[in-house]
Amino acid sequence: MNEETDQVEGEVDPSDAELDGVAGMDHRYMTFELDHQFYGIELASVQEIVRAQRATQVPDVPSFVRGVINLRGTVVPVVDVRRRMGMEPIDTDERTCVIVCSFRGEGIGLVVDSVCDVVQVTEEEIIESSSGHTEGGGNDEMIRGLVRQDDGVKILLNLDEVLADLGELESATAA
Amino acid sequence: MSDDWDDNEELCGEFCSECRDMLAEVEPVLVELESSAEAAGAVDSSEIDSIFRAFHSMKGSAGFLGLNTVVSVTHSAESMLDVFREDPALLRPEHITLLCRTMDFVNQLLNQVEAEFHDRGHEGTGEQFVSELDAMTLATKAGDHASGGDCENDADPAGSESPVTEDETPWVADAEAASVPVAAEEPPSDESSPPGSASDAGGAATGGSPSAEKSDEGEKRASNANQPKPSKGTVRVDLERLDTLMDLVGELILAETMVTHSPDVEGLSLPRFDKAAIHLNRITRSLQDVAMSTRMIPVGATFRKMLRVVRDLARKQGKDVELELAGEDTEIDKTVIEAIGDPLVHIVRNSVDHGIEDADEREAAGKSRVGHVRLEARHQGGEIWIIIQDDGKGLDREVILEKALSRGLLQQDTALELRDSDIFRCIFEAGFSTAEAVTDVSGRGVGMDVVRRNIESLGGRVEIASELGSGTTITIRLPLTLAIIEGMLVRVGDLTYTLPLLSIRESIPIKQDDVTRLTDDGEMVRVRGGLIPMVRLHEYHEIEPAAKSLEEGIAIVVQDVERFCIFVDEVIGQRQTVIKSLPSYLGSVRGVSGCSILSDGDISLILDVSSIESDRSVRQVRLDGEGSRARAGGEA
Repeated sequence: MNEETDQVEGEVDPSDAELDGVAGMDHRYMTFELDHQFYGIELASVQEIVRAQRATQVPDVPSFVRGVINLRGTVVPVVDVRRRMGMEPIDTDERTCVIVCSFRGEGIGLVVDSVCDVVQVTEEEIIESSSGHTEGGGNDEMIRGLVRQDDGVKILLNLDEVLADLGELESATAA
Repeated sequence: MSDDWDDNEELCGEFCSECRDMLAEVEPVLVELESSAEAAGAVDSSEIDSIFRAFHSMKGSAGFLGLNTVVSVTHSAESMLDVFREDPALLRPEHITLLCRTMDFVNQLLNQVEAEFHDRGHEGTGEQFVSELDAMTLATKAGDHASGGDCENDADPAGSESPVTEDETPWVADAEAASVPVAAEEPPSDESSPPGSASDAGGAATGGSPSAEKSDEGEKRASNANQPKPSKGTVRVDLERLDTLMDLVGELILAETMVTHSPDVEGLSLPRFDKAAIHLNRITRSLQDVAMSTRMIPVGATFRKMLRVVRDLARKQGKDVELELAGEDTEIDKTVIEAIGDPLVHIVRNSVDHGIEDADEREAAGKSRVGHVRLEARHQGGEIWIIIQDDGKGLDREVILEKALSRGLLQQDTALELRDSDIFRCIFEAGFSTAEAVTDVSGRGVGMDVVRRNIESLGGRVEIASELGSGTTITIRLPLTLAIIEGMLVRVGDLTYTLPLLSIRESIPIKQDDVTRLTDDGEMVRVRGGLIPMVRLHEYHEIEPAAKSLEEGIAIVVQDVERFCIFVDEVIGQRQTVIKSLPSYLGSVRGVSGCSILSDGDISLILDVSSIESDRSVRQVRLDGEGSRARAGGEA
């Protein structure tokens, strides 16, 4: 057992990257815009993108939950990512989109200013967010890392943290 | 054999559900037989035949699956019944009792078969049953009727058991040859092949072609013969698929409205389009009816289970009780039927235990010695009513009132104004029992509150009416189906809520003068002289209302347990809507039980009246309100 780990230790980074590639880990990210900054989430979790529609307000939920929308007969909750990231909300316009992601077996919509592109990101390109860039306002957990590409810096989000459990988030925002 | 169980899982499940069906069919026959046996003589041999056949079929299938305990028990029961087939006059109530217990035992075995795919664990009890049955059969055969009852308890295993084990193999062979249920599914050529492969073939048939399998079952039913009911071709369908179908039909209706009421076609004169639209509408409505009816099953089977409940309990308590069933054909949503089974048992037990008096007592009160319980199901408006009526001693208003007062459920000074139904409703409170003696059946005061909760969770209600000395009537009112709700749409701000029509009493305009603010978060409104609490929905859910003053909005009086008002901007109208649950991501939302999609595609939250009521603030208001009323009374 020990022998094995010793062997691997020397070449952790390359083997990890290789493994990821072999296992078919999707390194494509769906990018979108919030307040003139590009963000990305893993493409694998994106179900579809729909135009923003009026959400039915639901009481008793944190303010970043806009409510629920009717997605072809399925009731889907929508989260305002701006509010979730502690930014000022803006009015819905024709560029506003809802990215429907699958989260714990359920569809959840993310309201974003506009959807941009799908980009390929290699693991080496990702700069850990702790190395300098912090957005302030305790968003660190939601940020998986940064990527510097030709058209600028993109912030990769950790969907699990962005959505997390509403119960936990409620107490967190209340505190 | 155990190696084959993997393949047999499906077969076993099939077997169990078939056996349960058979047991459920036979049980009421057995109870009926008993009453005729007691009436001495006129026992219908065709009824004995049908029970015999049921046991025989079970034995056959069990033999095929190698369920030896089931085989030996059903065989013994069969032998016993065989005696009565020849001479029905020998049948005595104690035989029925033993047969009833046998059926319960087989049911237990089935549970085990389903969970563990064998019936070995009950070996010991199985032997005991076999010997009991055989001993009684022998005794009956010997013409020794009197000792038949005793044998029930002290059976002699040595003598009676050996024939059973010896005969075991022939039965199995017999089962295969006779092509009883399961065997019928395999191709004839496989008949002689080892059981493993045969069951494989059976399993494949089961999985692959449900319709073929069902036609088999149809034949089976027919060959079971002589049963009063004509055999209908039926298909067992996964309930989940039905739900999906129901959902899709709901969506279809929405989509249809979206097309036919699309703003694009509005105001245009399109005679051909309109004609087609009407045609489409007719089809979708019938489709909805059909889809809904697929989930509906007659309430009869559940009702007939009560025959046994009443029989067992009456026997135990030495009472003579007759159960009358009515409206057995009434169809109810399957999920509703499943959910009312237990509450029904409870209420029926209560009726027999507390309601019906001893025969002597009844005679003294000028009633017939035989107690009468009537169980009826019928459609009433958009609801299903299940009525349990007994002609027992009824509820004593004063006793209940006293108890309610002592427990603080009702206030002394309001007691005089209370209607009977208000007082009787207290028996549905937790821990409330008026029974002087706690029996092992009922009287502990647990149960009626559970009954009420179960029924309310189905969107139904329980009502109770009673007259001292002449009986009690309990009415369970249920919505036709759980998938669809008849609701009233109301608007608050730009939100549309759905209020279940069942809980709405009336809607009334109110004026500022009618309202008294009691505390910071509670107010009462005067409705025809009485004060009832009011909840302003926009405050409750923190939304911006359109109605700035009370005069602009409307108050809807709703009732779950107690009446209270919900203040909204306006009433839009009545709609039938398909209920959807809220996304689990949102967790549970205060005062909301689910949501539905409106014809314009918007989402409407369905309000849960009972949870709004039990919300602390409303409770608070009620207590304060009653307090102030009590004070007012005191001063006057």
